[in-house]
Amino acid sequence: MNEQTRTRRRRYWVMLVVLIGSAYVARTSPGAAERNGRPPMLERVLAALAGPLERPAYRLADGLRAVAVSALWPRALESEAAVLQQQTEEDTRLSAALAAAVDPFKAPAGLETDAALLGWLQAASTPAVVLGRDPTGRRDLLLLGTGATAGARRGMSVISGADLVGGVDRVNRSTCVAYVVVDREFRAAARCVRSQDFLGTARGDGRGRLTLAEIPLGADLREGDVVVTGPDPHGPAPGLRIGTVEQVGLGQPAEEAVVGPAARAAVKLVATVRPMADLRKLREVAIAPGPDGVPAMPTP
Amino acid sequence: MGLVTLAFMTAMALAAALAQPAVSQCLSVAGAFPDVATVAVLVGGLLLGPSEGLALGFLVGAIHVTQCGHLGLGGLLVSRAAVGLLAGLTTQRLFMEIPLVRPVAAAVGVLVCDIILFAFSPDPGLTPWLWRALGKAALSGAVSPFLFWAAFRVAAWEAGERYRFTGFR
Repeated sequence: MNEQTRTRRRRYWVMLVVLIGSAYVARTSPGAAERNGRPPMLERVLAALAGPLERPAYRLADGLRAVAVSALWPRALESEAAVLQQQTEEDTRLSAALAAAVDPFKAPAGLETDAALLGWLQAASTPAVVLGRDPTGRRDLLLLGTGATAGARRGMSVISGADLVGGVDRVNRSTCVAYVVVDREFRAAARCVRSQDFLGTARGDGRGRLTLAEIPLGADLREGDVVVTGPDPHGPAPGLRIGTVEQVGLGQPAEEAVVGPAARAAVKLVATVRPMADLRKLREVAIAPGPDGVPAMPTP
Repeated sequence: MGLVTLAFMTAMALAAALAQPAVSQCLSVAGAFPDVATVAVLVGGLLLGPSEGLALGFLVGAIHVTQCGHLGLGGLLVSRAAVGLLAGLTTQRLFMEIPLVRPVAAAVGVLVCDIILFAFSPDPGLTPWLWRALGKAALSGAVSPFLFWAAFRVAAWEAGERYRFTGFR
C-alpha cells in the first residue's frame, strides 16, 4: 500500500467519524433535552472539561479588550464608567417613577402579591457571571458561569434585578446557556401593568425586540406601557418586567379573510416591545427558579 | 508536519474555541466579531492537511455545541469540519508567501463557514445576516495574521528550517 492510498484511507475514516458524530449530536441532543433537560453523555463530558476554562478565557478576552481600549482611546474607559453610572441612576429613577405610577393599580389587580413574589424570586436566585455570547453570532444567547452543580435547571428564568433577561436552555456541569428574551426561541406569557390585561405570548423576533402577535380583542394596550410576565405553568415566574411597548398596530389579516366579518375577526392587535434590560452590557445576572419552584402566594 | 505542530494547532484551536464566546461578548463591533475559532481551524487545515483540518473542525464544532442551545447543532459541526477539510484541500493552490493571501483566505474561510451554517438553519433576515457575516469575515481576516504567524513559527521550528511557508507537506 503506497503513501497516497494510506492518506486517502485515513481521510475517509476521519470523514466517516465526523459524519457519524455530527449525526449523533444533531439527532440525540434535542431529543434528550426534551426528555430530561440534560445533554447527552458526549456533550456532558466535553462541557465538563471545557467549563472550568471558560472563565479564564473570558477574563483574558475582557482584559485584552480593556488594554486595547485604553491604548487606543485613553479616555474611553472613564467615559464608559461614567455612562454606566449614569445609566444606573437613570434606571433607579425610572424604577421609582414606575413604582409610583403602578401604586394606584396595586390593590385592584393583586400586584402586591406579584411584588412579594418578586422579592422571593430575587432572594432565591443564584448569581451568575456572563461568560460570553453565542460563538456563531446567529442567536441571542448568553453563556453563564453557573451550572448544574450550583442548582441551574432547564426552564429557569434569568433575571437582572426585576427585569427578565431570558430562560435557561442547556445546562452543563459548571456553565449553562440561556436564550435572551429577544431570541427567536424565547416566549413568555405577557401582561400589561397599567391595564392588567393579558396580552398573549411575547416572542423574541431575533432583531432586538419582542413581538406580541396574539393580543386578545378588547385588550387595553398603549405605547409606553410596561409589559410583565403573566402566569404560565411552563414559562418564567409572573411579575418580571419584560419591556416597554414601542409600537401598537394592526396585524395583517389572513389571505382567505380579506373582506366581510371574517376579516374583522382576523384583524388583531400587534405590538412591538423593547426589552427593559440593557442586553448588550450585561455582565452579571441571576438565575431564578422556574414556575415549579415558586411558592404559592396568598391572594389579596 | 510533525507531532509538535499537530499538538500546537490542536491546543490553539481548543483555546480559540473556548475563548470564542468571550470574544463575541467583549470584542464585538456593531454586532460583528472575529471568529478566532474558525480561523484556527482554517490555519490548522492549511498547515496540516485535509484529515487533520477536518478533525480540528469537528473538535471546535463539538466545543461550540456545548456553548449553544439545543438547536442547529448538526450545521454547527458540519460547517466547522467542512472549513477545515476545504482549507486542507486548497492549501496546495494558495500562494501563502504573499502576505495578503493569508488574511483574505481567513476571511473567505469564515464567510464560507457562515454560508454553510446558513444553509443548515436559514436566518429570517437575509440582509442583516449578510452584513454581519461580512463584518465577521473582515474582522477575522484582521486577526488571522497573529494565528498564522504563531503556527508557522512552530512548524518552522519543528522542521528546523528558516521560517518560510513553502508548502510543508
